[in-house]
Amino acid sequence: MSTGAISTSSSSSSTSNIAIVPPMLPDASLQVSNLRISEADIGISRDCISEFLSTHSAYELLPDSGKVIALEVSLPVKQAFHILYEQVVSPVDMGIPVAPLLDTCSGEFVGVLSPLDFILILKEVPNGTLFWPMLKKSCIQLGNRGSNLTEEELETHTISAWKEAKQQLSSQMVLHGQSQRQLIHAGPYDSLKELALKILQNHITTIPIVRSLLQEDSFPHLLHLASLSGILRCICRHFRHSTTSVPILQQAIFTIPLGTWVSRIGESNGNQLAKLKPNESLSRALTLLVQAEVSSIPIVDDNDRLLDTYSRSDIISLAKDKVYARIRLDETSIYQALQLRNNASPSHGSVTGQRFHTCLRSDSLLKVMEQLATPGVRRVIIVEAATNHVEGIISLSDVFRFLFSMP
Amino acid sequence: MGNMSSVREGGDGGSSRSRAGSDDLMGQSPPHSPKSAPQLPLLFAPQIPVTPLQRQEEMQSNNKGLPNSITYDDVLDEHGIPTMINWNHGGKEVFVEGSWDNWKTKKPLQRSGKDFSVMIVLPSGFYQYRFIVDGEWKHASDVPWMNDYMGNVHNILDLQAFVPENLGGVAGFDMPQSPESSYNNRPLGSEDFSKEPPFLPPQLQGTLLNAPTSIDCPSSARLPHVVLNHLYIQKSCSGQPVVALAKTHRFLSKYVTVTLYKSLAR
Repeated sequence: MSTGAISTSSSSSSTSNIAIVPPMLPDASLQVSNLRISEADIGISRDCISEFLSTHSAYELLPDSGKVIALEVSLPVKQAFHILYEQVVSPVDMGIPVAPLLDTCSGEFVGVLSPLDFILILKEVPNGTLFWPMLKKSCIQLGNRGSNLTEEELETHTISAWKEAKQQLSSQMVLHGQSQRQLIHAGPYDSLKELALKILQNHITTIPIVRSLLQEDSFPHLLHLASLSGILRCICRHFRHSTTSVPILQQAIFTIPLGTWVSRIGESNGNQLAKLKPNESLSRALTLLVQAEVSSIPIVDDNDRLLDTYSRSDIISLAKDKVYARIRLDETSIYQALQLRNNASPSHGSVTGQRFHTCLRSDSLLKVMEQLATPGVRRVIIVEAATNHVEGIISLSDVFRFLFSMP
Repeated sequence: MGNMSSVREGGDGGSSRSRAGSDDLMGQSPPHSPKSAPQLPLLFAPQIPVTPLQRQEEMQSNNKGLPNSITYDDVLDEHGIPTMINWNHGGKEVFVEGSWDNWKTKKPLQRSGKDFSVMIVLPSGFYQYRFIVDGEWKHASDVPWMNDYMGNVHNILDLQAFVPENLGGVAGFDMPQSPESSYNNRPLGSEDFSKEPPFLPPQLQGTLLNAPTSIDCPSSARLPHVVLNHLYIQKSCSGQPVVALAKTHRFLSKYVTVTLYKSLAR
């Protein structure tokens, strides 16, 4: 999904009007080029990377000793919330709060539970009508109280009931790609290129790599949860020392039509960068995360300086001490939500990428790609060196859309 | 201290949890287990938080607004991999230069007879290199090489952090005979359940599930192969009817530990 764009069109700015501004301090070791990049160089780089991706398979993404979790689809949603919370804060994991769902009756993986599900639950369930058909008699408590979700409600709703309700919800809202009922998955021998295209075309972030065994009575083997970050890591590892064959890697990012940028005075740039102040309400942040189809929002102060970011995956921090049952979304400020997140995982500042990553406009593409290849990092915010103003955002999907010349 | 559980657990029939420090294993396989093999009791210790590997990243932007970050691969850089580079095609003086330092330095190769070789320590990655033999650029055609788009030919070095086990490559490996004893397939009876269960072999405690590892160094957490294909179970202690089952299995050269959270409510 694109980051930071309110309009539904793509996030990359148009190729024709990149203003060439005086370069900032270039990275001396890599000889960053601040000149406009030629179409031929872009073409060569795209071909080179595309060939690399077609010849390597998803097997290379698997770590030598990896760990994945799966949830049975009849688990209560609340349990799932806590399980994913423990995965994120404990040191033993990959930091991705996403889990595939296994239906033990049919023996198939039927879907994936992600932070977006939790955001939708926390926002939509107070509208009692959504869950009315699914309720058991014992937990009829909903109505238009407009208050927070009680523990009972989350406790007894199973994931499968939620997914059915989400079906109904998606027919009311326009949610990209949520109407599929089939699990989008990949096999271990699919090429990296197919994997990346599947992720981009379906607007998802992680795709389970599943090995289906042909014997009957055996469950498919879940091997890995692949994301664009892993694919980018393979690319960086392969090309980090061969920058002459991929000329675009040495270009400064402001010369490449990539990412979402704050429009400068005088430029007409259709996409706006969504930003919020810390005193705005959490429910506004969640609404923006869902409707703008972005995965994270920069939080700025009154002078437009970057303070922090709030991402979809931060919703998991509300599971600590069952905070979700006690707060009202519209009375909690983003500032308080960020405090909760920082309290929930104090040791994970730099490791899971819950703290944000920044770069300068003059950094080379390779440097930004290396940052994005860190596990858990999905976006990098471009700031101005002296003033810390937010200039733009580059996300993983932006980079891959550019590499595949997708809009 | 562990919990003593009675021979027949009423009701739930799951294994009880033991504490981290104790070596005793108190657990019973329930007579009607859904899986046919008895389940080994799990040692899910309460997760002891461990500081992750110290990294020098400064992720919060400071007043100057200059970020500095180090990619995660830098952690692997501490473990360089010694690599031999050989040249067997004659010549008087042979050097090698490569993309590991952006083609800046030339390393001389030591001569032994007609062959030249040198040992370089490199972090895991993909490199291109070429030889300079008596002043001319050459590549070795017996090791992997490639053309780049400018028409140059380079040799390739693809260093993996782990060499996958070559399962078929141990020549003359015979499986040792099983020790002499009597083995049978008799199902367990009530007198077997009244005995203490056998101790868990200490090798099986080396599972990924108990040890806190840092999240982005999977290659340093290579498990011993003895833990493969053993089923671990954790019963949730907070009273929720959820059980966690985990197993490590091998796919080609990679180990995958899958944890399934299953609800017990019927």
